Amino acid sequence: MPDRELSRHIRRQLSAALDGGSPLIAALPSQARFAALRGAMPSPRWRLRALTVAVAAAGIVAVAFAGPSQPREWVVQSVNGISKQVGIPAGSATPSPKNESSTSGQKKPNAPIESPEATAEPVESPEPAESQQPPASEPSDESGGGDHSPEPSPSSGD
Amino acid sequence: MGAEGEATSAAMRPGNRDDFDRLYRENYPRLLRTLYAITGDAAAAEDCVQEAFVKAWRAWPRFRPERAPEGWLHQIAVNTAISYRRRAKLRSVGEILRRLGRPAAGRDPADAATTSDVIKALAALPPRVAADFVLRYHHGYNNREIARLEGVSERTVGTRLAQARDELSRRLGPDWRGKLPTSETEGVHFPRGRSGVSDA
Repeated sequence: MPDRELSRHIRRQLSAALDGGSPLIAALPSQARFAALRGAMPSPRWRLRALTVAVAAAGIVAVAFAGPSQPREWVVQSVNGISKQVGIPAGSATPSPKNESSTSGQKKPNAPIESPEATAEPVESPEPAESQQPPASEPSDESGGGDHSPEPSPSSGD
Repeated sequence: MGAEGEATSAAMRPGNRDDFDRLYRENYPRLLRTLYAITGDAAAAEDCVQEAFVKAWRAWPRFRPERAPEGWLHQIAVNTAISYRRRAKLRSVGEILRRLGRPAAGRDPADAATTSDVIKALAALPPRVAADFVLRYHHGYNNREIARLEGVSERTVGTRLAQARDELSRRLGPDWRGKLPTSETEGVHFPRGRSGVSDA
């Protein structure tokens, strides 16, 4: 079917109607409506980077809060050892609530904290051994002990 | 024109801002005229064109370079205008229902002054028919170029143009029916704002 052509007069009428009603000059691309979306829509590269950071952060949080509880017994033992060396009773130190809860299954909640005297171990005592021993209470059954005494006995001297 | 259009299309990089800006500058006038014919309202046409470019910008990173970007934009713009017309029709129906029983409101004199009879007749056509008519007789595309732009057959374009001429001649006068091409009228084109569509 042959396509019909409009006369020049009709074309001019059509162009006048279209050009007269609508503005000819377009707004600059920076002033167009889509330009406002440019800041909101990140490029694929930035989107990938943001996704990586989000996944990493989620992993860190999951490991920190959802992982196995960390044993803290070594902290209490270290503090007890130091307090024994210094001479402060370890009972004055209060363990952390987490530690209490973690060891509650093994110990009684109201059990008294062991004093350093009750669990005194020779290796941890900072005082020398001779200062704790009263000189009068020692029996003289050790025959060789007189050689080590700083003062000679009066009986052996004469 | 065809070679230039192909080069323009081939150079487009999806997601590239500068290329999209170029698309906007080259296609805005044509789309505005086309949508003006569809909507019959200059402000609505401008709003629809801006909205169409917003939609196109959102889809721009996923644009397939093998497709002509002008045709892609044309489809988005015409669909936006069709949606606008649907909403406008619903609004007018609602308005009629609200005003039922009241005295009929007179015509807005400002509307009558700014909208010509030609625009009103074009806006009364089906949207794609009006778009093809403007592309053919205002922007100077031939049927093959329009078919490529819209992704339809040339036969479809010819049918739409015949429908438009019949309807416009009924409303505006017999001159709008057009004449069969003669040696005098053949080859008369009014190229204005054409870009990006190759006549391969």
